[in-house]
Amino acid sequence: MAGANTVTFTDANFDEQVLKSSKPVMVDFWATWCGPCVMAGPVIDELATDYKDKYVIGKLDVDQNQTTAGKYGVQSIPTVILFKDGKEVARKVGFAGKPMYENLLKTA
Amino acid sequence: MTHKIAIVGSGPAGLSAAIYAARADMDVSIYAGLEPGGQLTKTTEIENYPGVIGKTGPELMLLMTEQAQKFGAKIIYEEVNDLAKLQKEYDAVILAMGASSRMLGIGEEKYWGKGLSTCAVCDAAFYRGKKAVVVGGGDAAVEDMMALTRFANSVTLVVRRDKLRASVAMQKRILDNPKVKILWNSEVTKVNGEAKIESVVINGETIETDGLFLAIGHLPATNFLKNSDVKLDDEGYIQIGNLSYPTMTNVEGVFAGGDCSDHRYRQAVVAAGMGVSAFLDMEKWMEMRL
Repeated sequence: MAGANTVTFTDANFDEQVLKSSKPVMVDFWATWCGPCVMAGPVIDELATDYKDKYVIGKLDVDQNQTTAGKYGVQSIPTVILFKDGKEVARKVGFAGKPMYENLLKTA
Repeated sequence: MTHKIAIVGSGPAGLSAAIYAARADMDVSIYAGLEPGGQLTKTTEIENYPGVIGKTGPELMLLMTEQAQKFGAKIIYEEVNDLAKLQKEYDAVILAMGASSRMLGIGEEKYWGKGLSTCAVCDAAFYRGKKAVVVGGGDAAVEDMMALTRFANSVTLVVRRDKLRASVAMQKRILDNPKVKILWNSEVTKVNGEAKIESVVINGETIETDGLFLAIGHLPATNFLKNSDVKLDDEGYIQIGNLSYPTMTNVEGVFAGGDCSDHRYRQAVVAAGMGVSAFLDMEKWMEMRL
């Protein structure tokens, strides 16, 4: 269910692809069992395509990657976290709609 | 000329209306809101939607979405805050925002993502080996209990009355579970915690918990209409009942269906039917007028 420009983040590649990325990175923490996450998934794909030049945007399955989800204290999904230079700069818990995510991106 | 219509909401009511409208060759935009797919996306298996066997709520809503898109309906992942703007841009509007979770109103909102949840199916897995409290007494509360007992060590159900409203079939699924504790005639009056929820106060007593799950019903998602001309009843439901067009609101060209205009039945099947009624009335209204 990923779009062509949507990156799949994992415990294994998180350091390389998120924390060490030269562009700001938006990570959607989700799981297959989370209906609201699944329904909102297409928005992340749309954003990943719309903003592919300026940002890296992708999804992290909290079920498969519990270490990273735990490290960032994710307790409710969907949670979207924006990273810049290896640090969290913004977070949105619960689906926020496309315009709100676009505003979030502007903070990085 | 192609009629351009806006549907506000993407649950069973909105998507059923969209499927009909798109098949009638209308130019359909669905404003999906902040809970695309609506309440059913927070449930597990659907057992009471005719013709649907062995599917979960999210699966059913994905299919409905796909069906609407197949006939050309567009989905816009935005929340609508201004009805007047839609009325200018579209020939007609169908309101199908459904309902959103009722809150306790004790300042618990600041714990969103920090132990507070209205979707146990989504968040239960974060409570592996932990403690959780569920508030409610209906089927949704029981479903939350079932989801949580799979992971948490202990789950306390806080029921305002001395019995459950949940169906007998649902009740049986939790009453004998050793992880389940039920507090009758009880209310959560305070939530405590620094970075996240640490305890709640129930009947004056502080009880440690990692999570607080609310299943205390829903309120019609009609707040943004309070500054519009659309008439709402005392509880916030949209009033419909025009003689010629039973699903039209008091505002010409604005129709409504589903839980946002139904304080009585509030079922997915009924919402789907109401969505279709709204579409049929709208189509008739357009024929007479445009």
